[in-house]
Amino acid sequence: MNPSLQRALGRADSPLEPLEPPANRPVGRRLSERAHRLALVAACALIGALVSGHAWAFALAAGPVVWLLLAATPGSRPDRVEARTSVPVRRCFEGEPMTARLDLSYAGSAGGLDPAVYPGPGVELLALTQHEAVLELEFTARRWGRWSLGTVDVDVYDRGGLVRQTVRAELGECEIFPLPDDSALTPIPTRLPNRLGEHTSRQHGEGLEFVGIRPYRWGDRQRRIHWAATTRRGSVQISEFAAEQATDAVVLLDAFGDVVGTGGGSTLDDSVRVAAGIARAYLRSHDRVGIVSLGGKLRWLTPGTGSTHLLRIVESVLDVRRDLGYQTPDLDRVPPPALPNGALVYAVTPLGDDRFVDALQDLTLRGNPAVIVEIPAGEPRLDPEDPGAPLALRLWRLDREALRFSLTERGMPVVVWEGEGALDLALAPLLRRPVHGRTR
Amino acid sequence: MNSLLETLPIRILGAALLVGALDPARWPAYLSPQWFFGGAALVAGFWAAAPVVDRPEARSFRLRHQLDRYRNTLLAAAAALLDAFQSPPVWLMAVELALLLTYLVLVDAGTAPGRPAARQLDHAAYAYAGSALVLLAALAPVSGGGWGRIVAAVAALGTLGLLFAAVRLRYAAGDARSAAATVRRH
Repeated sequence: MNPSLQRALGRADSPLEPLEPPANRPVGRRLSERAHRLALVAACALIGALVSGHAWAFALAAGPVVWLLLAATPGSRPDRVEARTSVPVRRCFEGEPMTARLDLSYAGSAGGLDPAVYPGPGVELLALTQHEAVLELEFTARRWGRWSLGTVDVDVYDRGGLVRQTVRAELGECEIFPLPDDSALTPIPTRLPNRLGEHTSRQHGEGLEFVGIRPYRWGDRQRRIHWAATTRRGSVQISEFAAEQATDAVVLLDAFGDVVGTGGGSTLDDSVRVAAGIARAYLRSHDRVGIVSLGGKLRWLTPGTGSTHLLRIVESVLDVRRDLGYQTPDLDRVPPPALPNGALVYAVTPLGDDRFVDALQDLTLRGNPAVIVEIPAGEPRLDPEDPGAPLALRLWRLDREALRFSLTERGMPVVVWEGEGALDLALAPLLRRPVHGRTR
Repeated sequence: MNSLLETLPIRILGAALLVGALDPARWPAYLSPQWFFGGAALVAGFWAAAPVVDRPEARSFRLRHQLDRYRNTLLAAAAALLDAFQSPPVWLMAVELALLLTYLVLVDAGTAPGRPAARQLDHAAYAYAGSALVLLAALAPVSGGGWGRIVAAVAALGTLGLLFAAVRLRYAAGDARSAAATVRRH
């Protein structure tokens, strides 16, 4: 790590675990370490010389005294020090850099700046540059959420390096959007809404996919005549094509809990990435996508389309981490436009909370086709000294299998997301046939 | 390992400063407590001489942390105090004086932020000159005859005059600079 960066971060053991800013920061001017050192050396030499009576020891004091006198020039201290922060971009995706600029203004002259940076949780300081009275800091955030960028304490020294004063600057909040998982597959339900789109439906229409032939009816277009069949059957036959329609997809996000694995992975982080990946894939196909998050607070976003809608979706889930609670959700409170009839619902969940499973049952009663994307939360850790632990683990696995089987039997296929970049692999089996939903 | 290599020159300087403060010229040739203290000073100087690169910020009030934070200051102060109670040969006085000032210069360069290098050299030159002048005055043979007292008095007056002139010059320069900076900023 860069030495100046290390100094600014206070030698934190890990860049992702920064130190907290001191609550009681010193106010006003105070002597620097250099002034203390020179004064103490001079005092020790003088006292020693006076006590011992060795005249040559005054020479040991002379150097530091001269230094102190020369450095203590009047008018070389900065007065009325103020810091002004500017962060041009406060919203970005995970891993993208953000720049903060700190302009210091003061009357008089200053010798040097010594910044201490206390990045917020989840925020990492990448670079620190200084141009006279301007500090430029480059941050990045590894986890999505609404974070505080951090605090900067700047020690402003006088020109002699003897006196310093500290000014504090708060960098404010930033919004870090989750990086969507890379996905391109868009399974569709059996019934699609009557809207033009890119998915080949079972209804006949004006699309490109050939589905069959039928006898000519008055009004059919001449260019649709299937000449081979006409010749074979002796009467005019018309080619039929499938309609191309758009679909509605709603992502149901399980925000009841957040299971953090031993490797630092979080099920909520992964759930949001998967949800964003699904939303992005459908939005690329010009479908309408909405989101409903079930957790401490019920949140929803009415389905919409367009590239900016992805930003609305990821922005709407930024607060779910704060809302973790114990309230039982009620899907009846979701307005009908947020969960349209027939919309394909993706339930992204670690299947760790019974309340979410109950909500899924409500969903099937509504008749929405649903797909469950399971985010593995890992297996429970075993006590090596417990002889019954392996049996308990086996029962736990059987219970999970039974839960998946039960959900699949109710018309909700369960796919397991195995990790980053594997969303397409998980969704691929759903492309074999449209998602039916509950069999009535 | 890299930091140890980078700080090796100043560590050797600090160890030499602390060992020199124990007046090694008077140590006996056989093994004695002075050799033991000398060894301890060597180790302590080698450890404490490395410049503290952390920001001057109190994160803990434990003695170990405080020692680590102020080790440069304690080393220089301890060397000055030990030196003051010794009466070494003249060559060792000059060496100790040079080592102490050089150590202070190097520690300032490594820890004090934002001081222009030109100013550091400028001030260091004044400090070396002032110390040398005081040392010469201290070594003047004031008890040898009438001319010795005259030399000592001239040296003391010269040191005071040099300091007075330097301070006056710095004050005048500081006033002019601060006025110029104020005009520039407003």
